[in-house]
Amino acid sequence: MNDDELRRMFAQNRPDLPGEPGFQREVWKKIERQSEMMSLPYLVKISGDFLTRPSLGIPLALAAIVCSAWLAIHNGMEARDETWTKLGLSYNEVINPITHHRPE
Amino acid sequence: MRKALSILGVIALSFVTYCVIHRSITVEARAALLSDCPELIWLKREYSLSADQFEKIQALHNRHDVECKELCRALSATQKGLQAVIITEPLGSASVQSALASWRDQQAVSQDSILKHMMDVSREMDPEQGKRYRENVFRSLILSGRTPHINSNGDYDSDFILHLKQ
Repeated sequence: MNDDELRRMFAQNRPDLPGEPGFQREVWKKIERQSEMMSLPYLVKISGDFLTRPSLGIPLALAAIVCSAWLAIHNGMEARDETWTKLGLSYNEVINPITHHRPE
Repeated sequence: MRKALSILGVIALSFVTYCVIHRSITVEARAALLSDCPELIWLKREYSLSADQFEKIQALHNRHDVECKELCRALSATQKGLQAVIITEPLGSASVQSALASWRDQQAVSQDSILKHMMDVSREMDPEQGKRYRENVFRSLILSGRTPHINSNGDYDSDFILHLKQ
């Protein structure tokens, strides 16, 4: 902890603040806590805590599974219909000598 | 640790759900694509063919395929012949007229072949499906050339008229 620097900043901005070491320690703790709260592991931790709360965890898990199922149905049906359409067009080409024939 | 595992578990379960459902929906189409003749699998599904009908239509299809390849070669040859003379000689010349006639004949032979195949195949289907098949093949093969100035009702196509004005 750079107390000289901290003291200089207090003197510049708030000359009326007390200068005891206990007060400065508290200020440092607060600053460290603030910077810790902005870090990624902390955000992951609180997100994890939030998502795994029993009241929220089960509905969220169910929602994730339902969304996956809906996406799978949507994408699957689209892929299936596209394949059949392509095969239908392909059949029409296969039986037609004019489309069999590719002009050079 | 337990929390991380539960989140991973939910992600894994969602992924498995996605894969299982997607696979079950596309299984038939994927099997068709992997088969020897995907187009015939499509035909079987599209026109609800029975095993017996499918077998007969497959035989017709294989026979037509041989004929189709021959027609394709002949068409290619007449087109090359036409291309060789039409860029060097006037339209009225005997060689251009003869090449044009050959090319038109070959186109007509090809179309006759499709029509015959269409009739043969549709005869093996149930009457309603056969009618739908003929309609589909006729629309996509015989009417496939663009007629931009006339729409399907036989009226002048306004899009074409707009296009001309631009």
